[in-house]
Amino acid sequence: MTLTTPGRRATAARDGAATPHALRAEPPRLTGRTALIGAAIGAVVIGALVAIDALAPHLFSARLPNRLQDGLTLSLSVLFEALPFVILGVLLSIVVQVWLPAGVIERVLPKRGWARRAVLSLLGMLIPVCECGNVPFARGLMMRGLGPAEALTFLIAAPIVNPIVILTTHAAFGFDGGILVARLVGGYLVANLIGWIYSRHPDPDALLTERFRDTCEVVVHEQGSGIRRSLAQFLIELRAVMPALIIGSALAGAVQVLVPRDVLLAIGSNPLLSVVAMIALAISVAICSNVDSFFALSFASTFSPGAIVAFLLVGPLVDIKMMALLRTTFTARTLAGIVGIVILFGFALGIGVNVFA
Amino acid sequence: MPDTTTATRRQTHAPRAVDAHDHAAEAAGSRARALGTRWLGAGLAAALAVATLALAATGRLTLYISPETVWFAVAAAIVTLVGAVWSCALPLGAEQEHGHDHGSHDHGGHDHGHAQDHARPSARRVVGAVAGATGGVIATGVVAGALLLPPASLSVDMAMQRAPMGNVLFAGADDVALGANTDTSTFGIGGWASVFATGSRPEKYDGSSVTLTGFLTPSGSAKDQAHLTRMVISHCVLDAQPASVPVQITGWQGQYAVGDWVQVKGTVRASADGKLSIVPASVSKIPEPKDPYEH
Repeated sequence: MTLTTPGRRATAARDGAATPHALRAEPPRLTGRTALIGAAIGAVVIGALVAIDALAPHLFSARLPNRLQDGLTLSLSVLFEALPFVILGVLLSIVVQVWLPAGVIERVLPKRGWARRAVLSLLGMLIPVCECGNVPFARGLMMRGLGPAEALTFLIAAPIVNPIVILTTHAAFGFDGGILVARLVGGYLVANLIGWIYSRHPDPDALLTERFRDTCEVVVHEQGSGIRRSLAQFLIELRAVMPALIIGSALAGAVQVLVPRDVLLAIGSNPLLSVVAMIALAISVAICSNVDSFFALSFASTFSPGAIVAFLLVGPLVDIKMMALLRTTFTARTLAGIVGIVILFGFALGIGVNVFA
Repeated sequence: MPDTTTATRRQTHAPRAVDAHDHAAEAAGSRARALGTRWLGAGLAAALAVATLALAATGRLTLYISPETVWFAVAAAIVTLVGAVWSCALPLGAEQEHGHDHGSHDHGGHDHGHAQDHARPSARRVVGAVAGATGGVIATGVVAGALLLPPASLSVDMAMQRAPMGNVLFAGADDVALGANTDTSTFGIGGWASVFATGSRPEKYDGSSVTLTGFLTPSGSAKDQAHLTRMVISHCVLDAQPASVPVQITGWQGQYAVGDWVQVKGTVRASADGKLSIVPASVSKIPEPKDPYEH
């Protein structure tokens, strides 16, 4: 299905250029007074936000209860950390969706499905975006006709198979216990496994939310100058990603405050249960993949190496924040499948490392 | 999160809106929805960008993220604001215009099938719309928290709750701690906690002089020993881990409360059984430092 065809969405894009609404009376323009007025309103709104931010904290001096405050602090910390990567991802999606000449992606990528996916799972080596930023980028790729299974391969591989993550994992663990190698190879394999499984789906578009399919249609028929389409893409992607990012971060913060961590950590070095515990911790704690190895390092003395590997594999791929982000694009059913596969794979890999390494 | 705009956008196509009153109401409704869409995307991003820049300008962004990534956060916040202002040049709702519209030109009434499909929103759509609206409210609430409330560091409760697993290795500290003539003068509490927990030859550190800043937490039920604790973060507050070193202060709870920030000057001493602790020459109460974390 996804072997050689660039997919229905890209076909629509090409046909779109020739179909009726090119006849629409006024091709939208971005020049002139309305645009200036709009930008001025935007600037005023931002000025108001600045004023609120500067003044409001002086008005309420009462402190929140400790737990609530800690939850908020943790959530905001994730948000401030992730926002730059999301913006980078949105910019990349604009480049891919608006400015990349037609057909470039198809020409560069191999024709065979498995080879395509094998290449896409290495794309993370070139694109310096953290896992949150990958989501808007992958959406941009799909709007340009990449199949859902192929986009998934990229999304699952890139958070692990990328230079920053390799460097930091090496800095934290060296080659001890095969942790670095197991993480890299495991990430690459699970991405291709998931890509392969979903490439066999009879109707790939059914993997995507209706909302995202609608967005694709809107976007590929977008008229007007490159600038106009870029701005529209900026708005569309932020609308899709921001609420999910914020809710994912809020959940991550809430879980940290509400779920006592010592319960998980009490499990310690049991070769089987420690893997389960670290997978649970990985999903709930939602740390970016390029620093999670330092976090994991602090557990290295109490947990089995397999548990650390499972943490490092599962965390970047399907933590709470990532699930919220992926849900913007993939149906709940697809997401459940991905999460299930990643957890089972992480579990098997962790046990494998404990038994053989 | 999912499917609100699709759901609502489609509903508006359904009724044969002919009289002017309905038209006006519909226009107002779609305007409100378009505004909502802008707010939940570019609006929330801009609000967070404003908060980022304000914190960075007042040097408080390190309450949330590591100093190494502040420049990146600031650069991205500026890009976000530029993009947000610029995108206001697009007329409201323009980003959602369909090319081959079901919307603007089907008032003539050509597609009956469509209209009936969407006339009665299915239960699923209603649930989707409610979930989407709730998500929007929560997201707005969290961002409002960033703008309206002053930034705060993690509470002492949190450090104490996580304390049982303290005394672990901190980023990179293992190499230095175990190496030969390491320079311990730059060690913070994180570095020393690693040394105390893992140093194979405690006598090597006996007599080192230290100046450390942290807050006091109990050391079990010991009366003459407290823990000097600090949260150590490697990237953002989410990965904060408490690190602590034992400090000998006779009857400390008479003079200090749990959570008091102090600066301790003193010497590392090894006890007969090889356990390290700090014997202070002076302990002075200080206000919470501007950057309460070690990085």
